[in-house]
Amino acid sequence: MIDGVIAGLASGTAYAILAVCIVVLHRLVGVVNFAQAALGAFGAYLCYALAGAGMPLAPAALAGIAAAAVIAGFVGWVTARWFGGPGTTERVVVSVVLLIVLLTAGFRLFGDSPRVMPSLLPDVVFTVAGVRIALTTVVALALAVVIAAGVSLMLRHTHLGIRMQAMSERPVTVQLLRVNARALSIGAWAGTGAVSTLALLLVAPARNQTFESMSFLVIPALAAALLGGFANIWVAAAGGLAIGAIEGAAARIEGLANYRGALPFLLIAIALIWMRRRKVWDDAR
Amino acid sequence: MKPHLTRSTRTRSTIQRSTFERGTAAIALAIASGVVLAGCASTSPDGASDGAGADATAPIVVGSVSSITGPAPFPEVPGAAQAVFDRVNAEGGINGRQIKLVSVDDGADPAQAAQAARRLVQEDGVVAMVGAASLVECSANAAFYEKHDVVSIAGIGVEPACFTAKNIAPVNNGTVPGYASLLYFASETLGRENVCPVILNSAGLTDPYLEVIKRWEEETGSKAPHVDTSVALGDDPTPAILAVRDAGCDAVVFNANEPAAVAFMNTAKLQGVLDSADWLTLTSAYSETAYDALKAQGTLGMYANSEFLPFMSDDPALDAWRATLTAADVPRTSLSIGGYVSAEILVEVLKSIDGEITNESVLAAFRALDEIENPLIGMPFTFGDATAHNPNRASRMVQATENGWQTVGDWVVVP
Repeated sequence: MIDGVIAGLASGTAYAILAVCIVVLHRLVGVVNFAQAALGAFGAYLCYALAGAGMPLAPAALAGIAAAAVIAGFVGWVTARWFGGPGTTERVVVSVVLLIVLLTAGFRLFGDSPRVMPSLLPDVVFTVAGVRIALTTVVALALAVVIAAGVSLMLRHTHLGIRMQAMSERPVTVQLLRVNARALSIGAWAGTGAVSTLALLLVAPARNQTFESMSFLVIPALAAALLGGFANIWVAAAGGLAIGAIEGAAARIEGLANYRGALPFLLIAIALIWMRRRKVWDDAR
Repeated sequence: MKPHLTRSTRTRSTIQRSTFERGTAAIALAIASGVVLAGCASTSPDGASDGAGADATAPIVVGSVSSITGPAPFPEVPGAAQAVFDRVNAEGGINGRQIKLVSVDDGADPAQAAQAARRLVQEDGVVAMVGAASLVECSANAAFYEKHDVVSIAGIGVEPACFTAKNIAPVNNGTVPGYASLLYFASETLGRENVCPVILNSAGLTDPYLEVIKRWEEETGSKAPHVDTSVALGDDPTPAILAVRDAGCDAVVFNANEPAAVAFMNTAKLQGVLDSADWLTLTSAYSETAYDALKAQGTLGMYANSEFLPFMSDDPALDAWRATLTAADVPRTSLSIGGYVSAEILVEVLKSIDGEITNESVLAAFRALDEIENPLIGMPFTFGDATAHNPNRASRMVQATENGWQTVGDWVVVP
């Protein structure tokens, strides 16, 4: 079972980084981004398409990351320009539209035949509890921790971070204080788009997924973000890793294996009910 | 104000009345023409083909409903059938009559597939369906074909429903017999003793695999040390790989599609078990794109079954297929052989019919058919009175080697 847990962490790192991106974007611009994984998948697939056409891997990866950042930044500009009001519904719809557009465009551009997915890092493998783990997975895990730590520190201790959070809570007031909300929105979107691409570039070579299945990594990531109440970065990151670990462990237990896809969500539902038990009572009073 | 109001009201009511009258007239006309049409139909139940039968030079119309667009398009399958008919027509057709293929796209939508079949059978008067490859057509149209005595020789049966219908006979194996052929190849040809089946789950398809595994164990006396069903198609296959490693398997048969096969092999390599077992998967991995990816990640050696004579081999039996498709500018894929073979079988049956060629006479000719040999499939095509057809249960195995896909051994026939 331990080997199952370790094996599951490989998927878990992708969920964790995506979950952190989702939480950050929610805290800064008040949007639940359903297209977080699709943005990353688009950048990653663009990188592999360019690499397949003969471009060296490093510039191809940079081009993929830049493309995802530009697309995300554009969506950030659109949401700030036309959907910057206090209500979140419109912005969520924008992210769903983005998901649909990216899924369609990605399928048209990249199809579903397998691709050569070269690894950004050398092909080094470690053995932990009888399971072999690629160096990319370890780096992705480290990246998840670094991003979670970096973002938490920035939001709490820097002037920029506090402004950004204020914008999410009271966008109109912040604009009255002459903070450039549009630039902040573009920056937050572009940053999370770039990080998602980097995460998927690290995880993809071990999985060789299609564009579509990569885009739907957002579902466990959203579940992890939900666990953190779309606010707590550390809980979201840990949740992502936990979902991966539970999926991996359940696959190795007779009788649970067939339900492993649903199991993490069941546990999250239970966790949410338990975590929110006071809040419901407080609201009811 | 008042007179104005009255006038406008009157005008509107006039318009309404005239619309109503026109509508009534239209309905009356429709009913009248319907009666006339019904009259026609009752005097000649099969108008179009009847007319064609009377004229000895009119083309023989056949149809195809395929997914030419959609999530998994197969345009080359009906395309290959068309290429065969072009060749036959150039050689003089069927006793001087040309064959006309009406190929319709269902866009992977069951409603469109059903509509297309009704149009082909009831309006175009097709005498048979041929060269189909669709994600939805068999389940949408099986009952309709049976009711209207139309036979469909499908190029590629994709759904399970293609292999359980009375009037549909695909010329490919289908995934479950294909999977069985891999099991027999692993135990009987490669001589492996610990063959482990891995079933990557997708809705409703696990049980047929478990049944063929049971039958294979009974027939060959093999005993699978581990049958893995823990991973869904598209998920991370690591748990399944760890399980087959722990079970000491020396051959692993898995039911991946093209991208999943590449991912599965990558994980096997990562977990260091690549060299301790043979890896065998379904025919969709037998492609150039999969080969390039397998080679790039260093996981050559994988086997796949080919449901036809392997299209990348230099077997001279492929020459005619290659020439015909090249002349018609149709992509030469493994699936295209399905469209090609189905059209050749239909041509042979059409040539054998003495009297009038109608949908009934074509169906009767297939029912009376003994068998048709074709070098591109591993067993003779049969039809007969069966209520379900899976005439081709033979696969040729190919292996990804340094020199590309190489054919291994002889045809493996699933009993």
